[in-house]
Amino acid sequence: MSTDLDIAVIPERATIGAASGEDRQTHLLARLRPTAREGRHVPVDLCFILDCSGTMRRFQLTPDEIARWADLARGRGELQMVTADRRAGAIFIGRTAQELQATATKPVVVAARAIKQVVGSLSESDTASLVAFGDRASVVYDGAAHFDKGQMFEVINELLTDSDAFHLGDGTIMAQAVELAAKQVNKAASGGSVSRAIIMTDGIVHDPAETLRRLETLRAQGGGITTIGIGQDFDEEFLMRIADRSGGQYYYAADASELGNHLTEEISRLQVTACQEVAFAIKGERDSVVVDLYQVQPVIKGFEEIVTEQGWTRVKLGELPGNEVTSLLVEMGLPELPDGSQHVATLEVGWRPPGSQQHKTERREVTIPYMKSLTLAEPSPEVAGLIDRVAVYKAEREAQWAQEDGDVDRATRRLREATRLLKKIGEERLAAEFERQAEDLEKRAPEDKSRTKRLKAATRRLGA
Amino acid sequence: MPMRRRYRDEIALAPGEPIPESGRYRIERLIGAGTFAVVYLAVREDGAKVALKEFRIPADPRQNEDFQHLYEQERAVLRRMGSHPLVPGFLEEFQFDGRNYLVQEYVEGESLAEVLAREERLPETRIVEWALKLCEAAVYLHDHGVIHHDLKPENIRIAAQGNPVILDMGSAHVPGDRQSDFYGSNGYMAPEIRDMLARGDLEAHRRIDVFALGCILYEMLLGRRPTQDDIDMQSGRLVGPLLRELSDMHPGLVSVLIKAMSFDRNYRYQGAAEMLEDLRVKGPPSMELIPDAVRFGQVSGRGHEPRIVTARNRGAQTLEGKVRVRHEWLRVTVPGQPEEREVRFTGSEVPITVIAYPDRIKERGVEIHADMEVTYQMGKVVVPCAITVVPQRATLQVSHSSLYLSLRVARRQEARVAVRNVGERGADVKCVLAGPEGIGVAPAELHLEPLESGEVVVSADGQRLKKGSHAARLEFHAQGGHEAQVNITLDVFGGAYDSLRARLAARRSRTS
Repeated sequence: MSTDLDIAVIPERATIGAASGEDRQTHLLARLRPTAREGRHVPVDLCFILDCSGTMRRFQLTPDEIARWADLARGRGELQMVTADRRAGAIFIGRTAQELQATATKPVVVAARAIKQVVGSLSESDTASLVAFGDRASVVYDGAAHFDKGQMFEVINELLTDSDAFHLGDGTIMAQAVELAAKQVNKAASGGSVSRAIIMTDGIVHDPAETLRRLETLRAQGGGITTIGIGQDFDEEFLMRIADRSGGQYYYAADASELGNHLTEEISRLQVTACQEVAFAIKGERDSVVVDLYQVQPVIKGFEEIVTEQGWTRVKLGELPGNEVTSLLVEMGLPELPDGSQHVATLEVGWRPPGSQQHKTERREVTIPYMKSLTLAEPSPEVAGLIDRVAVYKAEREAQWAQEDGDVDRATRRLREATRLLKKIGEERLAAEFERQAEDLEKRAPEDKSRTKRLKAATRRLGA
Repeated sequence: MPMRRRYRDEIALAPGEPIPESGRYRIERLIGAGTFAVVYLAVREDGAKVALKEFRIPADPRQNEDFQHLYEQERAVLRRMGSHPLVPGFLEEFQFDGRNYLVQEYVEGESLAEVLAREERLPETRIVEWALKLCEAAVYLHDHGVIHHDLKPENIRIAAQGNPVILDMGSAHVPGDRQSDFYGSNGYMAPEIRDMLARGDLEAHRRIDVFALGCILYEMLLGRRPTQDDIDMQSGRLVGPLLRELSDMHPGLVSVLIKAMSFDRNYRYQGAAEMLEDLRVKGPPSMELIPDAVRFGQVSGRGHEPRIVTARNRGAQTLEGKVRVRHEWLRVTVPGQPEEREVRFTGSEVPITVIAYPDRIKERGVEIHADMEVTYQMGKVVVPCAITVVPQRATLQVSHSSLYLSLRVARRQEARVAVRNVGERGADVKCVLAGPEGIGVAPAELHLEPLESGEVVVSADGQRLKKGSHAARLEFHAQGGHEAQVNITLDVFGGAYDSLRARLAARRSRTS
């Protein structure tokens, strides 16, 4: 056993039927639990990528509130039509604007407050930079070389009071911001620290292909990318993809107030990083086949990138926090083998302890007893539960793809399949939400964007 | 270490991934996925696009042999196929990272299924053309001992030239093959397959492809797939209501359709060759125009080569029709007929000569488009024609082709020569005088815009010229190549002026 990481493998069934007609599809659960190191905080190098587009700088109001304020402004002649972030809208001016400012909040203000809050909790060995973007991007605070919280707070205040002075524009052009963040992460990186870029946005990125291309540079430097989507109008599929590809996390903040919690959670996870550059590999032995694998804990996700090599299937997991279990569910096809204990797979986990340049590797042989007994072993409740949860995740994904293809019937069927599975595992509330989603789709009702995003985020967290 | 990426529920090679074992391909994107294999668009090192088929490793290891058999079967089929314009060529096979790969030419274009989904009804001319070509491609396969077994619109790609190309040999067999598994597609499967499957003994036969071709023809004609209701189970033929729906179609085409889709496999055509032959006898004519567009390129208003478009009949009967052009600058002719804006033709292979008159086009330097309409029994085909008239180069005209100068020793003599640019481009003109010392031209250079005239002065200096007769040549060289010249004769006299006049008069009388 390693001193950094406990590795456990739990087969779906304790035994496999040796008879030729038996089902050979099975699962393995690989559980990675870093050994706790109380009180040890790993230095973090953060780069916040903050969307400062027009919509982030608008007040966040409910439809009722908008109507009330609009009536008031109209009555006073203080309503003005404008275009921001390629969307038409109205702004309040004069006394109405002043009164609104005193009572309502803008997403960018809440995001900036959240950044200040987490920056305030950073230690001297940490660093943080801030890249803001709209139509253009700018490193508004460069803490990579020399980090000073006070200076960073001043810059954030300046950004809030007079964002126009930074000439960022109203759009959501992210690629340049990512490129600047990559430079910041590269500049700040030291052997013992954990790097992370954190994207906070509320809009649909206008340059997704170029952004993904430049994210590769950031990723190549070993920096994970965490994404936080705010509100209803961002492209959650794009943000999930970025996070999943880089080994970062994706969070959904229904309103700006949830942002602070997510940001705090993310920084806390990073600060207790127990293993870095974690890589998981599995190889089928004796003609066994690795069909697919999913991360199931702490979140459920399919690996965006998988490397295959001479029978090995390899994935990258990034950093593992010390306070969390990370589990992978491996779908396998097993061959016909004679009675007795059979070596069906070998798995390998590699990682680097923080502050160390030395890579460690652990191998495990997975053996499963093949038995002629007609009574098949009961599945492990833990693995079976996670299989169902992954099935919900797959059904949700397939519903999404069906919707993208315009196939409403298939999308509805897949949502109902998710509902059934959720009821089976006792997730009644989420099941009810899925059912409402299916009903709305069936009725061709307007999409409840907030619910869609909530369902996707909740589905990913089913394994927690 | 090949990187794979998740494409929805598929894990496949990532874009940009090289195939180092063969060292020749780079993955562009995933273009298709089936039960047994995925297909990528890949780029070979010489830039050619290829379709790379990767056979899956089965999820159940007990199916390893089946999957390997499928790969070997398809490889054997591809090896049998040579080169045909309507079937993509087989390039090579290799193993990489424990998987089998087959490489074929990549055919750009959309599938027939996509075309049918987009277009409510296909024009009958195109239906006939595609039916004939699909049959030709199937005949080619059958002649090479290959039965496709999964002909359907999804497996037919309309290539850039508009030709239907048959893809996916994943279900193909050789005649007489017996197998227990059959991988075809519902809606295009011959009815006898069900019985054979029930017996667990399926015999590969060309008739199976014929039924699928009939279904495709049906779908092209009616815009929907045939259903069980369309066929009378007693007679095994298409039913009355459907025939009424087909009543406005060409009867020969409908007759071929009925026979191809017959449930009675003995009544059905026994192979694509029979079906093609019947189409070429009973069916309508199908005109193919080669080339299908006329490009005159850049012409300057002077001579150019006429273009020939051949109208060839690929179907039945004889082509009868007319060719019409509406534009003043175009004329057409067929053998035995004068060149006109409209000519009639008859025959199975008719050369249509297309002539352009660039001098009837005012625009210069822009591509001018016109349509040539070729109408025959089945409808009208439009051939786009294009020409770009470029301005004529500078062309010089001189006021004299020859010049005579006479002077006495120690005197000077001058003559003026006018030069005009009758071309359509301005040009710098060099004036060069070749002759004895003492004769010159000024200026040495001119610039003449289109239709502009200039003048040069030829001067002879009697002090520097010897007494007697001299010959000289004045040449004008326009930038761009055109030249003009004036021959000069010069007599220098030393005697009395009267004597000179007498000699001059004698010369004039000789010239006249």
